[in-house]
Amino acid sequence: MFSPALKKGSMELLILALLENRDRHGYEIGKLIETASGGTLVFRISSLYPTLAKLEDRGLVSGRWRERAGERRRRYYRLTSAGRNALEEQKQEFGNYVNAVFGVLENASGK
Amino acid sequence: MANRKNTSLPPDGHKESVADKHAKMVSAWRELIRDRAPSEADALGQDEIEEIASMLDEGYQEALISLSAQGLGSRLEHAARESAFERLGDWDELLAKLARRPDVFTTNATEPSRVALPPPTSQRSTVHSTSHLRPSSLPRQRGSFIAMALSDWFRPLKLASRSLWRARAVAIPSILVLSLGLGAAVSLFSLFQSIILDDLEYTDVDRLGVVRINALGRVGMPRISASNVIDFRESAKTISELHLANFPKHSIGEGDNFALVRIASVDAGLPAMLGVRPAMGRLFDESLDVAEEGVGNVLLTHELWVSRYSADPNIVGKSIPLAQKRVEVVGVLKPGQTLWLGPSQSDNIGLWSARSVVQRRGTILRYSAYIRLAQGIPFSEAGTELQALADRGRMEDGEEGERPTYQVVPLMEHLTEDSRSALSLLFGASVFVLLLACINVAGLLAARSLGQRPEWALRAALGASRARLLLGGLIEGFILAAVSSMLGLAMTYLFLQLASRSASLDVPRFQNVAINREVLLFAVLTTVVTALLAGLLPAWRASKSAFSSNVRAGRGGIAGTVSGSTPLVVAQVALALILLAGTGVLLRTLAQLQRVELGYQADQLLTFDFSLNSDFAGDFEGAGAARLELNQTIVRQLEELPEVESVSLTNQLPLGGQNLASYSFDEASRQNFGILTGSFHRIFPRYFETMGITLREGREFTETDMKNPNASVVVSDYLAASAWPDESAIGKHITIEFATANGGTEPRESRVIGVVSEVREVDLRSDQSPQAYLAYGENSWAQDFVVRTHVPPSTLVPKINHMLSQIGPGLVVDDAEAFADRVSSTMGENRLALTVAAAFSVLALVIASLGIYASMAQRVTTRTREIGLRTAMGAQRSDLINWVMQRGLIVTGTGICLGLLASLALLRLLDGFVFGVSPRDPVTLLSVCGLLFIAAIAACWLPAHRASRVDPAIALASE
Repeated sequence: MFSPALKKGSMELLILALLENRDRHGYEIGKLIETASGGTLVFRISSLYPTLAKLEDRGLVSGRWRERAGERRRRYYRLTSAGRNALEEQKQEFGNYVNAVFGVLENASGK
Repeated sequence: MANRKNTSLPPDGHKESVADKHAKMVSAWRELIRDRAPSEADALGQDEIEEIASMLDEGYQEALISLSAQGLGSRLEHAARESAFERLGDWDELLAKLARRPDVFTTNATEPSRVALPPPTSQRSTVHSTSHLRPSSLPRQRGSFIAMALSDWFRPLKLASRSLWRARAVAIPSILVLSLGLGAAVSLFSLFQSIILDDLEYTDVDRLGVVRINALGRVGMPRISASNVIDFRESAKTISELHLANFPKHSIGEGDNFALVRIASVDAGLPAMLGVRPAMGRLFDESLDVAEEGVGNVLLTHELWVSRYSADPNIVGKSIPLAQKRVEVVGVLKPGQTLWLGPSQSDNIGLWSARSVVQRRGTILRYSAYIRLAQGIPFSEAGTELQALADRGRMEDGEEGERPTYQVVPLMEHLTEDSRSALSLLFGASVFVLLLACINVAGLLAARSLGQRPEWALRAALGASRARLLLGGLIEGFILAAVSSMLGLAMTYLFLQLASRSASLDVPRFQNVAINREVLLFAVLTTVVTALLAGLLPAWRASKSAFSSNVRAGRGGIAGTVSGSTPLVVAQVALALILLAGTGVLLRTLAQLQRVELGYQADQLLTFDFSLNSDFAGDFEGAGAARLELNQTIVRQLEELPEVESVSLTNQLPLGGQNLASYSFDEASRQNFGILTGSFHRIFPRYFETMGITLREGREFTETDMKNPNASVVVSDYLAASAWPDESAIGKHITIEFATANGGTEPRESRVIGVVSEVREVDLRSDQSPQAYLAYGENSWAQDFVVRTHVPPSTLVPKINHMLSQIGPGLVVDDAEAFADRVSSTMGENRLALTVAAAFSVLALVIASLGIYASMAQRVTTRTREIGLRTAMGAQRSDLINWVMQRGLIVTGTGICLGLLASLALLRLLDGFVFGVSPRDPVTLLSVCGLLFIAAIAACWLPAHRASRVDPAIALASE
């Protein structure tokens, strides 16, 4: 299991990333995170939904109820341009962070 | 299979899309969230709850599929629910996270749904106590307590309204049907209440009564002997007051201003006895106002004061012309205050005039006696005492002959007895219509609840309490009933407006009818009962099946509900049959009445009386040679008018009551037939010609017969056939015993000179009775002129009035009436009853047909699979049509059988209303059954047709 802080930090990034190429609804986002992480990241509505809501409040994503033929009514989220910028920024930041972490780890093992 | 090229849409119920199904499930989850965490749910916005509910449902649906392979059986849903809740995570976490969003828990003008409400302390918030997480909501806590309470109260209301709006295809017809039913019941109740139940505006109405005297010669007319009045006033201990009144029409005004007004000629003490108070001036004073002849001083009704005297504030003390005399106005009554004393006084009384009537013993007064009981005395006791006093008076006066019987009847009963039974009957019918409407709507709602089944079943599976589901149904019922009752009240208002304008309504106290407090109370009560019947019943049944174990996601148990709606349809058909049968019988009665041989030609006939100025009256008052001569002069001069074809006179018009006498014949006949009681008339020559009464044998009276008025008699064919069945009546002798002025009888023998056809005298329903006509002589009194004319009868009145004023300065037309109006007014009450009953039965037929249709349509919808299967197995279209029709007709047939049985029992209530037809008239009953059957066939046809076009592929895939 991951620490809450880590998950919290990464959750926003994951959601934004999943919305980069297409609009998705909340449950789909949760499921994708869960399956793509091989079940390591289990999604809970109680954490996913507030995150989505906060992203929307900050204007990074916009949600809209949509009804498609033969489908149930769902709220689909789309990345806004601010969201796109934020995604780039966060990717960069996260990459830097991961690089930094790995750098430290390599250094440590190289000793 | 060839017959299914037609790949039309499957029946309505299966147009439901995936989206609709999910929407229902989501709404169930939403409810569940609110159920489990009401305080937290209140803190969330609509959108938020919906999205969370939608996610929960996706988790649930996914779990249903993924877990179904595990063979959990009945525990599948439970496991899926647990899985969905696991997916939800921790409520507190969810809310805590949402709470940190800046705008969620503060008022946001653009998004009112996100208004934060504090958790109610009384609710089960111990587990999910989250108020500390919402600092921004604290300052609002106190102020919004009411808002919170209201929102808790209004939420189920809002939900129910929304759910009804979604189901408006059912809700709107339900409201229509219910409002018609409620409108009918409330309208009839308002009539019933205002006319029958509402007290008169008099003081101590319970002690007011009327003296009824039944005796020979006094049928259908207000009469009392002066001796009685004197004795009762002096000696009766059971009554505290007795006053007389009658209601002549008199002329008011002079010249061009001339009009006839119905007045109440009363004893000076009558207004005070009733407890009437004037708005202006005073009541009558015995020493100042009373006239011994003609009319005395007057009290104006508010209505006449406004219409004729332009509400002149100085009217009191002025003198006005009335019946060729000048009288003083002593006071004006309050608005709406009127004199309700006789059952047939449908004319408005314009004014009250004081008169002293009782002058000497031994005269018969054409007045009715009204009394006030002494304190604590029952009416029966007063009747007994008056009877004893009257008997003693007869002994003292040495009267012989038949003994009159005396009875004291409560004033209210006296006033309403004619309309009471008809109104009770119609009120009963309206309750039937309302019941029918309730059953129909219960059926419609039950059918609708089938569609809600998956949602309800899920909610039940998720732990929603049954009480909550029932509450929802109940609230829906209340909304429907409340909206309907508003519409129903509007209909009542319209009905009363229309009815008050209908001139043919001869119902006393009709002006009194209004939507008053009692009517509103009744409307509220019926609304509550309606809501319970129409709302709770379907909800109870739906929730019962939702909670039964065999329900899974809406499947199964459906057939049970359809057959459960069958009793409702049967009941509707039965109720409709009863109403239709009742109307049918009344309709036949009216047809029979219109076919009644009146015995005379009422068209083109004018009747009138005259009244005299007291200065002119002198010798002409009462009977006597001078009066006879005056009458003859009038007849002669009328004959000279070019518009007049013939003129005559009688002392008693048909349909106005009867003068009775007993007839006996020669010794042989007397032994064979005993004594016949029948009516007699005093007439002028040409009476039969003028009235259009057929002379069967012999001749009419001539001027010479009038010199010896009792020597000759003309009898009706019924009397002739009864007395002398095998021979001509001409030349035979009859002894007629007349009632004398002092209450005794006086036998006179007369010779039969003519036989005429039978005439309807009392009303159109009366049986044949012996009738005799004698010539009008010097001692005859009372007169009604009959004039046959070729112009519209009422246009003659001014001309005749002018003619009368030429004959004598104080002579004016009184009581002028086109005779056809009198005939049709005796059918008036029948017409009203029939119109209302007919409206009710059309309503019943429509509602019942709708019920049959809805039930059959529902059956076809819920059995689509079965129909598809049958088609797939080779059933032909005609088989399917038969299958549905058969079912519908069996249900209708059952209803008809039950309705027939009930009708046979209930139609007896119509005994007093029918004429010329049995209340259980088989022809009517059979036609009504036929009518219902045709309606049922029509109602089943559409669903049957739809069933025959079901595509098996769609049908089998649909569930």
